[in-house]
Amino acid sequence: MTLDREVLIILIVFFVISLFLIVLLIRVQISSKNKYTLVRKTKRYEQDRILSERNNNGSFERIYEVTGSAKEVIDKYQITKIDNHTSLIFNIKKQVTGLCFKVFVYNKYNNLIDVLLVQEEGQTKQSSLIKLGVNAFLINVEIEDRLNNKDDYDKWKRGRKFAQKQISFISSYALFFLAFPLCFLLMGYISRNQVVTYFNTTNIMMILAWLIVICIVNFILVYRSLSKRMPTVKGIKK
Amino acid sequence: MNNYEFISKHNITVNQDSELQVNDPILLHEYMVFSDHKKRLKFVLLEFKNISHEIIHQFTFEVYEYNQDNQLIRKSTYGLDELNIRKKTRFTFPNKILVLDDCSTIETRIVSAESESLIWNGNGWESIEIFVEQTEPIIEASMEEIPIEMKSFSEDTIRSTEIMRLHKNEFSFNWLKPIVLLVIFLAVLVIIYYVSFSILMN
Repeated sequence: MTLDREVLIILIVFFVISLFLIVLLIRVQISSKNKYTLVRKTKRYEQDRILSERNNNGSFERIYEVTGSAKEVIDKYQITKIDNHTSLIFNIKKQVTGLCFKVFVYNKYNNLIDVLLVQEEGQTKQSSLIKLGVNAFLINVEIEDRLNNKDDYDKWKRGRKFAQKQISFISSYALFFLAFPLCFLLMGYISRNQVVTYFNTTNIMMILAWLIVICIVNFILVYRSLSKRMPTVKGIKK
Repeated sequence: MNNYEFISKHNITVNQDSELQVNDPILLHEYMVFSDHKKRLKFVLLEFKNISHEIIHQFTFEVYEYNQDNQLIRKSTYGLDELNIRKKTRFTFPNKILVLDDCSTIETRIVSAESESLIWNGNGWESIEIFVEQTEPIIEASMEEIPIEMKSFSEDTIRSTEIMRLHKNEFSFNWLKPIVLLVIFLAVLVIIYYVSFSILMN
């Protein structure tokens, strides 16, 4: 005995939906990678004027004057490296509440290795200590005008969280729509002629319940891995 | 700590001729100079004395470093808050202050101090309301003057920051997880099928 024509059509539709969702996920991933590659290609290090330099057995301490558009708010910054720990600190020219700026981090070969978005809370004349990667050597700073207050920043952050959730949902839906026809295919192959009797209402309900559990687990795992991909590091607190 | 070598200890005697120093609410009482062999760094530990009649909650001070020829080689500013230094008591600054290798002596000068309701700003104690705007930044070190190991200070004194890493594999996740879950889903169904089938056969 074989499956009804209607059931087959439903399974094919499910399979097509899952393929569509997988393609969508791959496209989102490729576009986000392209965005990063684009920044890497277009963003060149703009030399800031060095004010002072101290080197000591592989460690260094350099103070630069900001020369870009950010100099209206930030006048100087200091990069310090001690024992493979590189850190950065800014001198903020005027007191601002909720300062948000991008830090483009370059290695010694002037290659962009990281982009950080830094949000300072409260009125400060000096930023918190920002820990950089081991290979960090030079930086450029750009004030993020779009996120110049706490509300805008929070809104932007919520948007990113929402995007993460959407991607996690899509992956779970893709899993659902793929697993269901695969389950029929596999059980049809195993049970041969008893496939129709196996897929009675009770069994289908049980399979669906089990599949929903799997999808929820998938959502949690994917969401957690995405959150780790875009880490939010709390700065040093007072 | 084994890498640290004690170099010298200096007791500070108050110069009665220096009106500025005598009027300071906090005085440097003594300091010890150490060197770190491993990192090849030199640092000092400071002990202050609160000579005022106020309980001091935060203060900012400048450190002047002099070489053997008594020439000023560097000036730096540090601050500390959330303190509770009672009047006429000594207080050890909790962080080591890095100094230049050729520094032989140091001097300190208090820039500002703050008690519960009063602020000292170089010209005696005044009501805190007048100086609200000026007391906002806890540490006000100008960039040239921050020592190489500013980390130890910053962890205590600097305000909060949120840092987010952008662009790098922004929305990519490990595809292995959904695939493994799919395999688990199908495997469990197959196992249940065979178990129920064998039960029915029996």
